Amino acid sequence: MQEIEAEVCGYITRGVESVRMDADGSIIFTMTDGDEVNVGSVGASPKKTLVWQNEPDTATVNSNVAALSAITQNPEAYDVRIKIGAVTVPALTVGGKSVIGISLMDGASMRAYQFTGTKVSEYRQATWTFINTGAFDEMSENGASQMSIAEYIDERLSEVTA
Amino acid sequence: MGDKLKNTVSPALTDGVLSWCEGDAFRIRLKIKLMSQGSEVDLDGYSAEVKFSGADGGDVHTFECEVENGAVTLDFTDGVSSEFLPGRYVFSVVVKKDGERSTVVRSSPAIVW
Repeated sequence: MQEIEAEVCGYITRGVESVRMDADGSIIFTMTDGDEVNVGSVGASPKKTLVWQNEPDTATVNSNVAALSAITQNPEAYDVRIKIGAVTVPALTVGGKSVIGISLMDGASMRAYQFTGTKVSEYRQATWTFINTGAFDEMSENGASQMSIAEYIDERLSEVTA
Repeated sequence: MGDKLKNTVSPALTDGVLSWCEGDAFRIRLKIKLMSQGSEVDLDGYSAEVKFSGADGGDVHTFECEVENGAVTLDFTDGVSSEFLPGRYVFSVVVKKDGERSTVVRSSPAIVW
């Protein structure tokens, strides 16, 4: 019987222990290391839109620069995820830019998308890039349009913030 | 991708893609490196779950094994191998200890030809 060897590598940064919404609509993540991070607030249409705050909060979520660098080089391996229902949203900041990846758990399938922008709140207008492994390009055929991805996010967020 | 991998040895790792010929029995030793806060995690006492799924997302086979010396050995016996028809697959590696789970690899590609 033939035997081959390979190495796989993953990265852990602190994750999100729990999420709650304050009376003023702010969404607070309690991190696994005990920190609390205010990642956003619900705007005028609380059932439709999650409004993220500006860069400092996002940067706070990802304080480990070394791990962050590794994550951006190997996005499939990251573990920085903000779990909201079936949607996991890792919030990353690199070089002053926000990078959001989102994994859409749709039944048993997972599709990962990523966009790079200057503000997290721009996700609705951003160009989303399919980031799952290049070997599975055909999976992108199942990907939704840019707007429908945003709508999907809105829909999922509305379920947990309503 | 599939054509590119054909006519290679089986099993093989090509450009990060695990591939093998349908029905082949083999072992793969996966060395697991897990980094946390810039340091490598000591995986002593961890167990691992290596799950292979089809391109449609359906589970095909899951290996449950202990991490020994930082590695796990996946034994594709004749029986296990027979569960994989030619096609594309993905596999994930999750290590577990004391109720905590850490994903090391998510949706890494594999191809059976």
